[in-house]
Amino acid sequence: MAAIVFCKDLKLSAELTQSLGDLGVAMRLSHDVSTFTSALQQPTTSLVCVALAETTADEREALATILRGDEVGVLLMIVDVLDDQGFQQAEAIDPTALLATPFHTIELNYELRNLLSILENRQQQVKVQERAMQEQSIVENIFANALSRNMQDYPHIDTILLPFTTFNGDLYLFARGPLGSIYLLLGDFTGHGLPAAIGTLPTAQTFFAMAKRGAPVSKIVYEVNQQLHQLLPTSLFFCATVIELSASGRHLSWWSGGMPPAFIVDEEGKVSEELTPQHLPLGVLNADEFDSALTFTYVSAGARLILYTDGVIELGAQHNRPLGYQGFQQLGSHVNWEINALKDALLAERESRGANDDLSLVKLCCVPTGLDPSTRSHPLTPLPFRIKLRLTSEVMRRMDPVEELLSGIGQLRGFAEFKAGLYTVITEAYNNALEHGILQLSSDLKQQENGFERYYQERTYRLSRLRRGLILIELDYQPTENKIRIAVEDDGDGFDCDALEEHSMQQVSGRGLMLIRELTTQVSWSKGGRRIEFFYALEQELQRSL
Amino acid sequence: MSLVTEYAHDGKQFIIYVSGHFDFSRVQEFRNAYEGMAPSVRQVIIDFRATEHIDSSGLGMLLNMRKSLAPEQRRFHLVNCTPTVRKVFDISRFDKLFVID
Repeated sequence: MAAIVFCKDLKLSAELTQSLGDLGVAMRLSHDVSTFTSALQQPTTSLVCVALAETTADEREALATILRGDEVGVLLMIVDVLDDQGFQQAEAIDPTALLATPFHTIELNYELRNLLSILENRQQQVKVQERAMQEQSIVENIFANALSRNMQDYPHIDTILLPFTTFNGDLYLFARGPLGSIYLLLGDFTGHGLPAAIGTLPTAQTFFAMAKRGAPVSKIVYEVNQQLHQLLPTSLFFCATVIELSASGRHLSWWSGGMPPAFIVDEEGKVSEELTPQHLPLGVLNADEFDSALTFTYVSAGARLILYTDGVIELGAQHNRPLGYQGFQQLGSHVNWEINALKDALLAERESRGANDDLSLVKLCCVPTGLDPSTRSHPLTPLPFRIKLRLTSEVMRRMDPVEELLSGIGQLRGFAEFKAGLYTVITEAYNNALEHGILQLSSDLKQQENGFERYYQERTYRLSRLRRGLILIELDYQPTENKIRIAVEDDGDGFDCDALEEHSMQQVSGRGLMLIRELTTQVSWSKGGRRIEFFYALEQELQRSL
Repeated sequence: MSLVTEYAHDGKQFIIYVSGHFDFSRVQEFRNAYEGMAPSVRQVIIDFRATEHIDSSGLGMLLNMRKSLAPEQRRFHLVNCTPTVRKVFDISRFDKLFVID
């Protein structure tokens, strides 16, 4: 603590020196205005004391200029009891305290103690404020980071997000899934401001991690609910709608709890379907009680989904003039849900009705997302290879050799995206060789009652007893040709391949060969039906057009 | 690997999530998943988001399911197909029997 004192009167100076010294306060005493001015470098951290005794008119004017305004925090002025003009001047400056001379020392000490404690409080407050600002900016940063994973630049979504305070208790999350679907979460924590926003962090982390894995909506809400149930106090919970729009843009799977009903509007802007929430908000129930059941909803091409928080329909509710659900729909259809017009209309409503909550609105156009994963392809390895597998009956009994083979091939550069297709055709050829060539199973069995299951039971039985037989699988990859030659051969009896007819795909058997024919080229049989050979195209263009 | 199922939309929808390889090795598991399904179900949804691969036995299992679940009273949806799975359904003309997305 320090005091900056201006005093020309010697007796008064001595008194102030004595009293401040008794209080343990360091003092800078000035007898002239210019010294005093330079001493006033940091007036807010010091007690400022000005006695008008023995000052000239010029000095008083100079003092008035220095002391006016907010810069001087805690100011004590001392004026002679008979100095009317001095009192007027002091009043104009509006000091923290005003003391008239002569006074008793006790009076002075009392006043000084009082002012020092005011000064201390103010300094404390400044510190608290600075700290709060610092903390707020850190927290703002954390929230910004948490939400920075929101997908940007998706052309078919529009948002209106109007928080009521710095921290938004409404939460909007948006991410793409690995299969090209998109995930959308719009929610509203109870209350607003920082306490409401705190649940944002775990919710966003869970949402983004699970969207990236392509988890179904029911799994996402289950996880978020569990986290919030553990984290939030009982009085805090999270009303939310979570939606996944398929890559085709044709269906929504959604879960909604505690939110006003989202709806789908048709081309004319009329509401064609409501997504009425069927659940309690997130964070209320424990994992055992929680119901993650979602709903599949098909949408027509070009339909628009409107999601919003209750801040929208409760605009003006504090003055008993809520906009309401009907009012909101009228307002939206009036502008055919065009986002800029809608925002203007909502801002106008907020202006006239008054707001007391966060307000959020999301409009999603249900069209193919264009985020199909097959558009990301890698060049194929330039390394030619040839693989020849000789599968004995023991190998056939013990494993799925096609799976083993493909898990290796899938590691080669550029092959991952063809793995599933290769798997299908090689599996079909291998199963054909194994089931008909080696195990002598007849597809006629499948035609009978429960034949499908019996066929595979019989397959399992015969395979477990297999002690002879050989199947060869050959793969031949030439990088220059963008295709892979596949041959599968067995040492069974073969069959009359000329008798193969075009099977209808809805029949119980023959589907496997049909798949090979359709997915590959140059299919040929040889060695009396014991060997099949075909080419599988490794063309990215082809994959893309699927 | 296991099949996860859930009811949706007040028991009117039934969802089966098929993961990994969808072929005869899952035949029992798959039938268990839909046997005993509630009669209230109007839409059966098979979600292929986590299916790595399918072959003709998988197609047979889907046809069997459809046959045993009173197809005249219900619709069957095959959703979130990976491109290759989708292609297999297209080749097989499954669009005549299932709603494919």
